[in-house]
Amino acid sequence: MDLRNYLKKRIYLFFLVPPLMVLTVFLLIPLAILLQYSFSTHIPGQGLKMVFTLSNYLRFVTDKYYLNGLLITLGTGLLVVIITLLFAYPVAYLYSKASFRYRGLLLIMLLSPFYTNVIVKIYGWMVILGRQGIVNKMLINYNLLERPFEFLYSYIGVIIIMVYVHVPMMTLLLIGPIQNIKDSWIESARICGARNLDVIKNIILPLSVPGILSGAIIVYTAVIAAFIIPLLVGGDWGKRFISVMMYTHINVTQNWAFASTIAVILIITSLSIIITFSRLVKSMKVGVLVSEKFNR
Amino acid sequence: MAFVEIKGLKKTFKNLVATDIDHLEIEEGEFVSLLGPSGCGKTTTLRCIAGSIEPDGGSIFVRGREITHVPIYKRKLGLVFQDYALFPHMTVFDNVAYGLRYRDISKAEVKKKVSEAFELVGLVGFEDRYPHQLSGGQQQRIAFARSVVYEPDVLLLDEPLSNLDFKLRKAMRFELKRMQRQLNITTIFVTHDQQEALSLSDRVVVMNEGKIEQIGTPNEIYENPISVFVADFIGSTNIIRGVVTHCDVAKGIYEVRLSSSPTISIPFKERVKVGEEINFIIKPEKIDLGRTPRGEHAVEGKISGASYLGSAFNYQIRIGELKLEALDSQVDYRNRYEIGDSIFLTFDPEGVKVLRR
Repeated sequence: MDLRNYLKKRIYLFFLVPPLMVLTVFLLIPLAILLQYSFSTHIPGQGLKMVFTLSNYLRFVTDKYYLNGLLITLGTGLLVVIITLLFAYPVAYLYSKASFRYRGLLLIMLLSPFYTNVIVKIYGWMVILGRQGIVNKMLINYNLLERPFEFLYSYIGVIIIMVYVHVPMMTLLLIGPIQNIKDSWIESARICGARNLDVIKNIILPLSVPGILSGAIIVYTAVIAAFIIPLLVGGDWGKRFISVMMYTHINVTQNWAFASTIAVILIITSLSIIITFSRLVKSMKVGVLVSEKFNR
Repeated sequence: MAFVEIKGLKKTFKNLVATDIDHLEIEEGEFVSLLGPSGCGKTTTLRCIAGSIEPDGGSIFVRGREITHVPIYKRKLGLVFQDYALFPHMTVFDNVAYGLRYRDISKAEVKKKVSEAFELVGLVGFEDRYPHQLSGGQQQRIAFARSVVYEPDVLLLDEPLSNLDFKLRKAMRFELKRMQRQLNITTIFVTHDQQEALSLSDRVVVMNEGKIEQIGTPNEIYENPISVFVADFIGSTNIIRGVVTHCDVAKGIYEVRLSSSPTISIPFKERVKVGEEINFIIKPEKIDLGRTPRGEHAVEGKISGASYLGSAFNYQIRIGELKLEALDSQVDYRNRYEIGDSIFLTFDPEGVKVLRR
């Protein structure tokens, strides 16, 4: 009887088995292999040789080319997160204040980009931003430019498309927390003497932090890992992204060992950045509000 | 000029008149309730004063200053919401101190004023907690403290008690009145609960379909309702409609043919004409019940429902088609009437009122 009760109480463990198995087979084991590769060496013509060496890591930290690549990638992640937030926040706010009818329309508009493949989206933007594209033509027509501006194969192009790709996700993650902000909080602040800017600074922004945090983390990781966008529209700039370097080492030089090293370093740095960032935000005590605990 | 004055205030939502107030004056330090059923415009009126709703017309004065189009943050008012609306991400101290941020005062002064407010609401020692760590009643007190700490001209209360359970609500009623007295702050209180309105207010404003139906002290409103609507809304009362068929001026007895049942005799002090169709208001506590007729004008009825209230019995009585409610406070539990018992009613002339509209 005791055993039965014991098992009954722990029945949930049984349901954890399938996801744990999937995670082990498709994530933990590959990660372990990746780690092993990163300490092995590559012999041109022969491929991977399983030894234990730190030479890959030494190469990474002594070569400015790779360190710069890492810095550029991480910096771009931050830049894209900030610009994406600036675009997504007003949309999310509008959505949470919109009437029921417009919400449906807005939601369809927000979700529709998810049904398109990233590569299709990139080529779409290439048509728009190209030398003969609509943006350049308009700017020239209105005499704002004399000759076409090179959006493509430059850093700006990468940023524009990365922001475009990630705005819908960011918006969706912001909507929840913003919707939880009650009008009566805003009205109370106003009657206490707060002007619009004060209300945004003291009430709306702090209460949006959970959404901003989750949105920022998800977009940041996605941007850091993205290699198709810099590869296709980055031109020479694109090659300076660490993810593209990784891609070249696998596909061109076939140096799996060094590619694995880059991957391990990227995972460790981005993880530590995310953890530090969320610790920092939590220490600002904005996380306390989470709605369920709050009385009505 | 009165401390608060509202003139010709009007607001419509999509052809629906929400508020249409000709004139309302409130004196300094007065506690005035806006009372009415949901949709009567009491909340809209309050929001117009607060500034969160722009009225279509009319003007609002506070301390002789017109505030109708003054931005909400410059109005110097306090507002307590039904859901308290405490900022969840701030400590209770910061919540109370919030309004002081926008007044030009030193940090030490802020601390002093906030601790005075905590003393007023009896929550000293709770300063560092967050709103979700407090009970409903405590949150309500903090909301009150937040609204009065910066000494607003007028305190607006939007059904602040209706989220509390019955016992707490009764206790908070006394508390609210005590705090309001102590601060002597002019207060406008919106409620749909007539008991709250009667027990708290200096004056009650009964509203119906956007308009003011009656203004008066709680006693005036209760004893002398000017319309059937007020009488019906203010208290459980019997409203009987009928035509006067005969009157005996010497005895002060009128015979009334009811629209719903045979003719009955009703005593009262006011003069009415034979043939006039009027409404009678008979308070349940002013009906005398007995197993035998007392006096020649007793009316016979049947008990159709009885409920024991502890301090009194509430009976439902049928006279033909007419249903009456009577409150018998001389409780003798063993001698109580049962459903189906025949009974004789005598009306106390003091408890009978005539209403022509």
